[in-house]
Amino acid sequence: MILALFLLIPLACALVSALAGIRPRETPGRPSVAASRIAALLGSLACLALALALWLGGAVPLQLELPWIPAIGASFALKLDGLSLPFLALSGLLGSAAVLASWKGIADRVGAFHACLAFTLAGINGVFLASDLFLFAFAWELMLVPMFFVIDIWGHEGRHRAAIKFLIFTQSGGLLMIAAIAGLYAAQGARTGEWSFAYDKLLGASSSGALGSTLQFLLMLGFFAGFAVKLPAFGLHAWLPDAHTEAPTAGSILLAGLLLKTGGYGLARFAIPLFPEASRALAPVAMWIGVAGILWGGVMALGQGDMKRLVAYSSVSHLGFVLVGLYSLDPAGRDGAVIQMLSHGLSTGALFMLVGALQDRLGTRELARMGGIMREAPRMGAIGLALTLALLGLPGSGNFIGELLVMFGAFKSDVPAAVAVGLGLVLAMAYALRMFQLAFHGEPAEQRSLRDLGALETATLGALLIVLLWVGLYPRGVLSLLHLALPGLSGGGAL
Amino acid sequence: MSIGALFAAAPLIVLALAGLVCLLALSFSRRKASSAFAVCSGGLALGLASSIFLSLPRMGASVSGLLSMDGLSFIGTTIILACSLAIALASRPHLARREGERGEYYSLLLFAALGGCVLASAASLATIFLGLELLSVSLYALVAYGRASAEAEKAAFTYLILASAASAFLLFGMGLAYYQCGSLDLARITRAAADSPSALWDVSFAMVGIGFAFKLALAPFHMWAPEVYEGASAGAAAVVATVSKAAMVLPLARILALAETAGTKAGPAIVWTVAALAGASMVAGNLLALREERVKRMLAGSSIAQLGYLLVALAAGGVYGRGTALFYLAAYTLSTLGAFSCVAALSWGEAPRELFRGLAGRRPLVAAVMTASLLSLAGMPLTAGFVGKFLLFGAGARSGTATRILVFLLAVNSALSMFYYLRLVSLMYRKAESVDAEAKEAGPSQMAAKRAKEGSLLAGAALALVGLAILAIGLAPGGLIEAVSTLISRG
Repeated sequence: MILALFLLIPLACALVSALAGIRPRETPGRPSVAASRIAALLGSLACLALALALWLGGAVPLQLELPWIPAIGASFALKLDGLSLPFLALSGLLGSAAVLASWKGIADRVGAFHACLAFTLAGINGVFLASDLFLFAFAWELMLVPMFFVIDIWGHEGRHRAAIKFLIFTQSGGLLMIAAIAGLYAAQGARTGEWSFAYDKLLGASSSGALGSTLQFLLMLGFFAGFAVKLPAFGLHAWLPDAHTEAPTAGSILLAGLLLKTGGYGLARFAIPLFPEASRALAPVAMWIGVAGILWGGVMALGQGDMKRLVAYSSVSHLGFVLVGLYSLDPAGRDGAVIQMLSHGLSTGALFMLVGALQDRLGTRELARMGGIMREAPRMGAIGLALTLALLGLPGSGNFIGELLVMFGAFKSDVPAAVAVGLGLVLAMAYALRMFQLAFHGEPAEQRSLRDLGALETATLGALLIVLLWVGLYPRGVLSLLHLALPGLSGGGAL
Repeated sequence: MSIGALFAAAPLIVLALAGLVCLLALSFSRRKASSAFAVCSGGLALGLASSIFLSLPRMGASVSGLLSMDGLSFIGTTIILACSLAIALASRPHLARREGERGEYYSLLLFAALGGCVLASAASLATIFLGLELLSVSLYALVAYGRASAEAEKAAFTYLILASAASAFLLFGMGLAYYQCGSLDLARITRAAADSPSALWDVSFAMVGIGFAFKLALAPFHMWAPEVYEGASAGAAAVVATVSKAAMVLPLARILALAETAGTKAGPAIVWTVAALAGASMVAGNLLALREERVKRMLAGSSIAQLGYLLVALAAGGVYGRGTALFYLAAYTLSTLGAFSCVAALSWGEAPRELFRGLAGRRPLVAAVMTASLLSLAGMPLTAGFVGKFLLFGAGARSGTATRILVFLLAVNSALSMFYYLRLVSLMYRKAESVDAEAKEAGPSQMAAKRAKEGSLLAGAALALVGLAILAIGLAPGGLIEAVSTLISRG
């Protein structure tokens, strides 16, 4: 039953937040507004604490199965293992960060805002935990609508367009994935006569010969489409810069930190294990799609004048590493992809928080109108420097380990791709340092008075940085957990 | 006819009696709209109750060979009566507010429901046609009812002429069928067609098919829908979108089921035809809705597309396919009903998109139910539509090549449809002040206002119930899925 808490707590918080903020006219200081904020924060913190307790207690794997819709063989089945646990912890951590980041920034319809955040988190946790494909699809779609609202209601100028774009892109992929789930379910059911959506039962479908090779490839493509849009893979990434830029800070944190990770998690958990043969056929192409993403994202980031957009494009580049790592079909590459996802979630989540703080203070996201922040706001500068270094993958940060492992994996399966990945690292250096230089160094571009980070913001960002450092210095903490989970894929790993 | 058969047909009898009582009451005093409303909603509720308590225990009974009260008919009757009841409740506040309110609306609603129920249980061509005409004639009047605008008249005429043409096609096809086997019984006809296929049979089925496609507004026979939905009042449009759709899907499902048991050789041809209609409707409906600024026209496009989705399951065939189709029918009617009830709560006549701007601040309940309905139509989780769509995918994937192509089309089209559903949802949560069309209408007399207020309470309760039902089916669909599949396999 502990696992159900990961869904129940955010849902309960969503309810409390929504009820607390139900009065249409709100004044910022009203107690109910604070109540909805605190409820959302406590919910995320509780999830984080729960995940950490399970991690430290070594209680994985853990399962829960309750009947849900026996008529079609769908059950409420959750499974926690070494692959899902780090992501669950990340979701609790970034969920709390998202609430803290919007503590002052959101004054309109506060209750509904936090309800949407908590609802999104419930969906995300569901994705990371589901071991029934119907439940997985349910959770997968569940996180979309509240996220749509977060962008559409509380976003910046171009929010309506960005929100619809986000929804249509991810929904197209999601529906193709659902169609593929239905196809897999139908094929396996027709062969065995047992109609079930259970992950373990569908896992052997493609090796048992229930699927012809064409069907297997088509179904795999369906899954790949769903996850590649979310990741996003090069070519399907058009929604990302808009959505990240227009979303409010908390929305960007959840989007970059968690929603993108569901794509990578889905590839590692579903697309590749369910269809090993077809994935092997796709792997060379997928790796080069990843490489294209790394380079394209890097080049685009280099040319951005809007700081938030720059970070968004850097995400396209970083998530390209994940695709390369996963489809190198090598244990080192896969480990690297997971580490990369976790560190990207931490570093980009923190960066979005920093950009949000800057925008609140300066009223702009334009790099050209910043400059000189280091001198005026030293705390902000220090954290900005640390995050910039993480962004370019300096040793010590988790990003370094992730990128390095991905390179190891890529070298084993495709040397030219690995070389191209290396080019991406150079690009990262360039855009990260350019961003830091323009925003933090030099003279202020405008007359202004800049407030430094408050205690709450410093503490949140500091916590994210410490975790990032921990992943970078002691990746074994995550990897040993991971290797418990994936005996089929893991061959020991490089570290 | 035995007593048992009489009990089995009780819902139809109750409805017919209620309709007559309603008319009689009106002929004594045309102003007694309240009593007409009471008779109408009472009759519908009684019909629903008799269907559950009298008809259901006698499942499988045949009423003089013309009606077959089986699982299909029970499902259809339940959907049709529940929808009609909700529409009656949703219409009440508006009709009560109008000066010189008359009760004919309610009697028309009763007769339309009766026609729908006859169609749902028809076992013979004669009853199909009887039900169809009963439904259509009531609809002609409903569409034109109470609105003196040129638009409503145009809509009613469009509907009258096109639907009559469709009826003519249907009748011609039925005539050809009768000519070839000398019977009006559906089972006998499908068997005869399977035993001795001929070109004449093909023509006959094609004409019947065209008639059905017209009534269901399947592409390429869908042109009338947007105009009629827009011109009709919100209540009448709701009847067209829910009751009449459900009433036409059931005989179609029955005929396809009989054709399947008869083992016709034309099976693949039928599947491909249904699949082609399905694909065309999805695309045409969504393209229509994408560009639409007026909500009722948008919903017209949406229902064209939704019927296309539903046909995927019918094309897949088999007990599973039909079960899925009926589950989806329930989900679709419920969601569409919710959407139209919300439109009705805001405006009885025109419904531009701007009407919904900032609705969440002004009318939270209406906005919430509208959101649930639209998300359900879009197929998002927590709503009935998600489960329905998932089952459609499953049914399509289980079957042959045609439906597998449809599954792909279905995925792409649903994603497209997100645009217009969510655009409207988004509008409801923006900040803006606009006044309800209702508030702008000339102030009604005190008596009428009081009645309208009572009506609003009932309508609000019905609205909330529809919203809850959408969520309940979305969260725990197991019971409904099982009920539908047992009903289908028994019937």
